[in-house]
Amino acid sequence: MRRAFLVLAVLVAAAMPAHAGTRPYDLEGWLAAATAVRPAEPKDWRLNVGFGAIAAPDYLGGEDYTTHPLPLVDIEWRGAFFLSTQRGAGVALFRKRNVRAGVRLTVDAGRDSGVDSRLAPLDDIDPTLEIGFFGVYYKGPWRLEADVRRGLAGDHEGIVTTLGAAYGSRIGKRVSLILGGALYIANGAYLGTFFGVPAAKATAALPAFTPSGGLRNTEGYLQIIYDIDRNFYFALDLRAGLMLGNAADSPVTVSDAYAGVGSVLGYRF
Amino acid sequence: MVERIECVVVGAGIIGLAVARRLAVAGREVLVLEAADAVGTETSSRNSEVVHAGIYYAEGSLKARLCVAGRTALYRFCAERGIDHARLGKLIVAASEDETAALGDLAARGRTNGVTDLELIDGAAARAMEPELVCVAALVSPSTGIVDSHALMLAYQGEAEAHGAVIALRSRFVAGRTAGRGFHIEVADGDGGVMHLACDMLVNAAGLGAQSVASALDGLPPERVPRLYLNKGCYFALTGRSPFKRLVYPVPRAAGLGVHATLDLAGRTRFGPDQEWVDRIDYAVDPARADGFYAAIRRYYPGLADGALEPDYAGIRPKLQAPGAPPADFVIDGPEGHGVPGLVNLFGIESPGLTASLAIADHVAALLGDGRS
Repeated sequence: MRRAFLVLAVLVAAAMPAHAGTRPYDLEGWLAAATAVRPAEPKDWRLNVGFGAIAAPDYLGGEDYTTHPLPLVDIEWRGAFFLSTQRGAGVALFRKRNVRAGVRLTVDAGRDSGVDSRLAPLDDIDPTLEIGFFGVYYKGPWRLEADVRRGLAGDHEGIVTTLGAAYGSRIGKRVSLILGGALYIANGAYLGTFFGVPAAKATAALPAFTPSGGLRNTEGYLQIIYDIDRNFYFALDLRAGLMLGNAADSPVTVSDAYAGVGSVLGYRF
Repeated sequence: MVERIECVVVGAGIIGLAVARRLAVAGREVLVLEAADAVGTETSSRNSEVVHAGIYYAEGSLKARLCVAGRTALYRFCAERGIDHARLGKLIVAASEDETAALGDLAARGRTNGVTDLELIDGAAARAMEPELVCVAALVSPSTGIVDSHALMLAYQGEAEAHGAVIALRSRFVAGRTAGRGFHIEVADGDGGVMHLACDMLVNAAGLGAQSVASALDGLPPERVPRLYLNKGCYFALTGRSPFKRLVYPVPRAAGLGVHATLDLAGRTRFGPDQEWVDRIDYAVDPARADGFYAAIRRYYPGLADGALEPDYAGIRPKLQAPGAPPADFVIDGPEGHGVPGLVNLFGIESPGLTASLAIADHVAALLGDGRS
């Protein structure tokens, strides 16, 4: 369960950075357009905490859904260093007005083969510490982002690249919307770990499969952020996704299409 | 104080789950002991997933009777519960003239067994049905189909549990003995502990482990435990488009049904299984075994391209006959056979075990004196 929630936390928070990733220091263009983060006085420390829940497939490609708790803790220092349940730990080494780029460590929560009886023949995939680069570009209400992460220590040694775009708009005094999408691309090592089936483990329901690298999945999301007051906010995240390429073709994938809904009640210090 | 359970079923494969369901639905208190950490991890999940009509088996044999009865029950069960299945039909093909007599024998045997919809056709008619096929004659079996074996097992499990059965995973039967009314058994859990249970009825549906379970049961005459022979079968998947819309089997030879072509519910074709007598359980698929497939397959599907076969999966058959001996029947040994009240041992449950699963469950229930359905 812990692994599942970590995965889901990363999935949700990857598109919930408005509260933890937009900083007034150098992103005024983005802030001015419409975000849930009010233009604030420059601060050395920013802390964002929250708690919520998310309903999503038990694993990427699965067809059964489970609801998990979603704690949120996001700490940032001077818009550079961050430690977050959603973003991992990292530092923005390059910070200009509209651009941030840096390195970070994240954790891929892996997959428990017991999460679905069809996966029982497969070995558990233990959590993997990943290292990666990220970059974000802000232009008015738009945010373009890309990140690459590679397994460093753990069960996967693959590489996942994420390309994303989002559009933020403020509706009224308290409500903001963020509409976005992301495309995930993985190499053969990553897809082999999560979507491959070795012949020695294969069964009639889970025949042997050796994926090559390529598209993994794509998602679209809508986030609705309601500012309860200056500090408290409520965020709702609705997303839908589609498995692609060899990940979709894999016998591990039972459902090509998936959806998720998450909500967080948070407080910004 | 030792906990007492009314019925213990050893093994949570397709047969154990079907038996558990049958007994639970009849109102019995049922505990299923499964050594693995999931249901159906061995033979039950490593077969062709075919629903057989009942053609091949000796007249009056358990395989024949339970396959025919089970096939009807299985299709109805799947239809009523929305379990994915397809009555695709099958062609048993004679690749040469000297195999046509065998086709006629199969047709006669099938009709004797109660398979009433078989039809012998010539090669031209077979090619009209399956243009990629080459044969001189074929036996059409419209009743043969395929089923999602995993969903079927989950359905059996779900209904058993809905009627109070408990499926205990990582729980291995260690030993047992007759004890007055019923049995005293030892069960090892996944943490290394051992627990003791008492039960009135004991069903040994342990598949590849059935002989080990029976041999560890004090009070069962050893001569009632047949020897186990392991026969491994490898499947190879066909890359690319499926050439057939139906299952295609060659006229059977030796210990199995030949290297046949089956489809899965996603429309993918796989060939196999082959036959290899082994002395241990190992599910690795040797890619080199595909070399023997090409010649066998091209007898009826000459369009098979070189390199088109990729390792898919393997299964192990629990055979009761030695290499070279004629095929053996199921052995479902109840109290009247071995003399131990409340005990049923199932040995050699290979194909058509999946097809016959519901009928086997009824048969076991009857042996235990429970005619209720």
